This record gives sequence, structure tokens and C-alpha cells, in this order.
Amino acid sequence: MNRCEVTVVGAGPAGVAAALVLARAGVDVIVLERGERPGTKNVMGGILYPTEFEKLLPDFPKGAPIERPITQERFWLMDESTVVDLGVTAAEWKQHPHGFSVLRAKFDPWFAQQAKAAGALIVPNTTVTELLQDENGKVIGVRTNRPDGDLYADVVVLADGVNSLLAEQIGLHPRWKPDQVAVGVIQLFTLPEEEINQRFGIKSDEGLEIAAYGGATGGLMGQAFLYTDKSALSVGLGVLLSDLMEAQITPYQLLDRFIQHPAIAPLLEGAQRREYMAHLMPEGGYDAVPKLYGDGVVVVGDAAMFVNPFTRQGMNQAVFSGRTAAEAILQARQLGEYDARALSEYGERMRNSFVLQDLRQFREALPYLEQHPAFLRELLPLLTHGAKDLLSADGRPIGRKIDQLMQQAFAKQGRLGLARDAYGLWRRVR
Amino acid sequence: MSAAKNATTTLEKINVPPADDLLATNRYRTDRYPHIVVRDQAVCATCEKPCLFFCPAHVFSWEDGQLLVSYEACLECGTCRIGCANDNLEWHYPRGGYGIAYNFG
Repeated sequence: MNRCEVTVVGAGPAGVAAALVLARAGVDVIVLERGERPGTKNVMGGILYPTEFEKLLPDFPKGAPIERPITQERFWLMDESTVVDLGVTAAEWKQHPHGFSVLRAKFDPWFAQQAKAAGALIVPNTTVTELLQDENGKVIGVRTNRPDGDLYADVVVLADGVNSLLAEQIGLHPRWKPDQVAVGVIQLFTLPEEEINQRFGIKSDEGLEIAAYGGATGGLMGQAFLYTDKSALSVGLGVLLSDLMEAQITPYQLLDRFIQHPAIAPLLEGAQRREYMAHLMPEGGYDAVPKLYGDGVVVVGDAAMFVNPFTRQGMNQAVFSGRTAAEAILQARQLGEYDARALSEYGERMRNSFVLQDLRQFREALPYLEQHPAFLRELLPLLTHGAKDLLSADGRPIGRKIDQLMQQAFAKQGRLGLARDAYGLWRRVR
Repeated sequence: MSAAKNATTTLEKINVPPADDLLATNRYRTDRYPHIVVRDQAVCATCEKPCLFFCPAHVFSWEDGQLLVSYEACLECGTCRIGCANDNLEWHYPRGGYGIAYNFG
């Protein structure tokens, strides 16, 4: 009978972080990955923040296959023709990068290698099909698609990603609803490094991310983005599945529109499309977070809904939760018990961490925005259009332009209604 | 009857397949066992079939009163599993090492 102390399902950032901490403490840990190597199934649409990686690997990002430090972040409000651009850059980011662009097919194998070097066994090409439980429901191992593929363990770490079929199987959470996940699609284009530098006005050790809202996603709840890799550009968007279903448009059409936008198309001119990716993003927020532990089992990373669409972070939380789960397992190991009570330390520490506190901060914001679509569908377009209108010298007196904009702003719901909605949103995020 | 006809017209309009080369640059190792299976075609016949447009890889198409599943193109995102209101898809991950394999990510 195959047996180890801890089995980790999934070699993404959360699973690997857990395995790294456990292996360093001398625990016999096996990571099962369904891809042919770590990273071949993984997708991200944004910036890797180094904070949590540095806690595990003090020299980070030394040796890591990062693409570019992100030295400029830009926020775009768009309609079909216009962009209102707010850029943020800081001298400190040049000295100590606050974030990096990475390509997951390169980065994830490198991170997994760090766990392997610490003594973890990483087994690719292996899909876990179900959790094995004893007669009391305690998780005692996993069943894989390999012949003779049962693997028994004291604890199973579920790092099996946003769909987390396994956590769902044992009832740690119900199946996600369409308003709890966003559909993300990305096209990756290659372009020579020098050309990227020239086009974006950056040097080789600088990088830029554009996060675009409003018309960028066809007015649907979500955001579009473009960021620079070393010699490639990642362009994508993510929209709430429930919004997508209501709009009856395909995600690739939505992305095509963004790519063909007059402000985006010139940036991609002549670039070669090399890959098209899709992935779900967990966006159910605080109230969708599953039960984080049970007898013989803990849930980490995307599988635990640890993504915050407002702070736009997920990998940070994944690594933090993987490490924290591993530390709780080490404590339980000293007691020689792996039941829910022994593992409850993990839940406690997650509740007291930035991960759940940030999710809690925005607990009511996303539902509020969904219930008040006027923000996205009326107010944002008006801001974009208004900016263009006020800056155009078209012979109309400025006073009349302002009057007209005000009338449009208040036409739908009145002065009070708009103020009430804005106040309502502010109250829910403060 | 005319309502149903209207629905069909709408479906044809929105069910725009992606450009031919969109998925062509992706690397797949196709499993011979499908990992997405329709449980009951009769249920699909009465459904509005949002799967025809929310799938990022255009895996689903409606032909001759049947929901066809081109699982070979699947990007394994799981959207259809959550979006199918009738829970009419048997969905699991492909066997280890099979399916989509991203080169960039």
C-alpha cells in the first residue's frame, strides 16, 4: 500500500508552498500534479507580488524566471474610442520591484523545483479522481487515475484550483454559482524585446501593466488587462460568468473587441499570437469561502476562494495559505493527531490574516455593484465621454457642456439616487 | 412555436465560432476518453443552451437536435460545469498528462 505523511493535490503556488515548508521540516510529502509538468494547466492575468515568496525564499526573485519588474501601473477607463488614463509609477519600484510579470509555464516548474530540492516528491501526469475516506468521513488518502493509484496519507492538502472538485466531493463547499466565478481569457503575443521597449517607452528592466474598465469589458463586471513580458505581451480580460450569460456574448468576441480597440491595436501591431488561454477566477468573496479544514484535510489557494478581485491578488494569498496550512500541519504532527480540531489552527490563522480580512473588507461591495449596475453601465461611460467632451474645442460654451453632462448624469436616477448609490458603495468598502 | 423559432435564430446569431487560428497555436495531448459528457440530450433540447456562447473554446455546438461536445478543444476552465443550469454535464479533468498543455501561461 502506497503511503506518505502528507499528500498535496496540485502543484500550483499554494500546493508547492505547502510542500516546501513541510519538506524542509522533514515531512514525507508527495505533490500530485495532473499536468505533464507544473504550470502547463495554470493561468494568471496579472502581477506576481513577491512578498509571500520572499518569506519562503529570502533571495527571491534571484534565479526565478521572472519576465519584467512592473514599474508602471496604469488604469484605463474606456469606451469605444476614448481612454481616460491614470498612471501610477514610483521611484521605489525601480529599486525594489513591488511586482513582476511572469509566464506560468516557466515560473511554476521553477517554484516546484525549490520544493523538490527541499525533499518533496513532485509527481506529474497524475489526476486525483476522488478522496478516500474512512467510515467516519475522515480523509485518509486519494485515488488517482494511475493503475494501483491509491495513495494514503495522514493529511491531504487540497490545492486543486478554482474548481476544486475534491472539496466539493466531500461537502466542504457547494458547487460555485455563476456569480461567484469570473471567466478569464488571455491571448499571448510575442514581439521582440526591443520593439516592446520602444512601443511602451520602457527599458528592458522595466515593465508596465494596463488594467482597463468600462467599455474594455463591454460594460460587464470585470476588467481587461495588458502587460509586458520580456519579449511577449499578455492581453486578456475577466468577466463575471453571470454577467457573461446575461449578455449572451462569447468571451473570445469580448476579448477580440478589446484587442481591436484603437488604443490597444497599435500596441499589438505585427505581434505574433502564440497561445490562447482560459481559466476561471474565484470571485465569490468572503461569504463563499469554504470550510477550510476537516478531519485529515485542509483547503488552500484558489480552491479556498482566496482571490480578491478588488486588491487584484491571488497568488499572494495562495502562497500564504499554503505556508500557513503547512505550519498548522506541523503543529498537528507534534500532537500526532490530524483531525479537524488539530487542524483548526489553520482556519484560525487564516481568519486573523490579511487574506480573510481583505475579503471581509469587500464582503458587500461586489454584491452591491451587481445590484447597482448603473455604476458600470451609465456612470463610467459618462465619465469617459464627459472627459472627452470637456476637452474638445467644438464651439460650445463650457458652461453648457457641464449642464448637459449633469443632466445626463442625473437623468436616469436623479441627483439623490446617484449620491445615495455612491455613498452606499463607499460605506461598503471603507 | 414562433417563440422557439426566435430562440433558435438568436442562438445562431450569438454562437459565433472563434477565428480558425485562435486555438490552433495551443498544444493539446488529446485523451481518447471524453472528459465532458452530456447526461441527457432531452434536457438540452429544452434548455436555452448558454453553453453555446459562454464556453471560451467553443466546445459546444447544436446540430440536428443534439448537443455536440468537441472536448478536444477544451481549455479545462470549468465554466460549463458551473454555467449549466441543469447540471446536465458529466465533467471531470482529463487523465493525468492529457488535455491542454500551456507553453507560456
